[in-house]
Amino acid sequence: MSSSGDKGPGARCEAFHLTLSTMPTIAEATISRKASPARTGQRAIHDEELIFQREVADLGGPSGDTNKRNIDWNGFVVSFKGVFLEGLEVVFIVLTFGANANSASGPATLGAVLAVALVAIAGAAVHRPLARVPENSIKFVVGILLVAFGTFWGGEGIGVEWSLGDWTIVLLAGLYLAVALVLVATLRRPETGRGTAVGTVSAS
Amino acid sequence: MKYITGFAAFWWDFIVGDSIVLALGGVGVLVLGAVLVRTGHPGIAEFGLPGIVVATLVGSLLRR
Repeated sequence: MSSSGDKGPGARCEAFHLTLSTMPTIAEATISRKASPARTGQRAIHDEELIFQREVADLGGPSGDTNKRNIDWNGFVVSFKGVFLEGLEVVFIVLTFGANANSASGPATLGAVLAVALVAIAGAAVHRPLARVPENSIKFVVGILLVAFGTFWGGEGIGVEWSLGDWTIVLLAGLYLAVALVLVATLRRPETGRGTAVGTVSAS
Repeated sequence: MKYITGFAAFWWDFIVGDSIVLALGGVGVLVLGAVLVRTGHPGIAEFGLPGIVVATLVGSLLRR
């Protein structure tokens, strides 16, 4: 952790933490907010299926422009854009960490390369079971984790010295999980009197 | 002009989306925390930050 009085690399690191934390925190809080009503049944649990169908329809459906290997180029381009954006984010993070920690460029780059390899292997190995995990559940968990990281880094960015150090992230995640579960229970309660939850689609 | 409005719309959707409470809360929590730290109350900021985040989340959900 860095103190608020740091100059140079330390101050840049704080600014980096602040920038890195603010946008994802807002974005992920939005995701958590959207996922929470879904978990209460007030929003269709599998509305991601509907969204997916709508997006495919907007794209004009599978392109039909396939080669001998049956590659759907519409799907390829959309996937590539998503992966490229995330990859670019990784590059920026590695460069920023490398620039702020004078001797960390090598380890940061190595870490990024290993992460790419690990994610590629894990993706190839478990993509089928992973595709069956409801998207809203993933959003719920990821949202909680990123809001916890966002709070931690945002706090560091403005000069907060967390008493528990990095363990604060675990504590924050636990706090946000508890609050989210209470909210889910609270918001679900009025729906139970109305019979079937609005828009709830059974798992297929 | 179309590109400028499209660019602005992207950032509005990304930051505000369907809940301006979260957007204002996200910025507000950092501003308030920074003020607390600069005025010599880092301890309050340490406990206040998560508290305001929770309040923002609760407020945005119960407001719907």
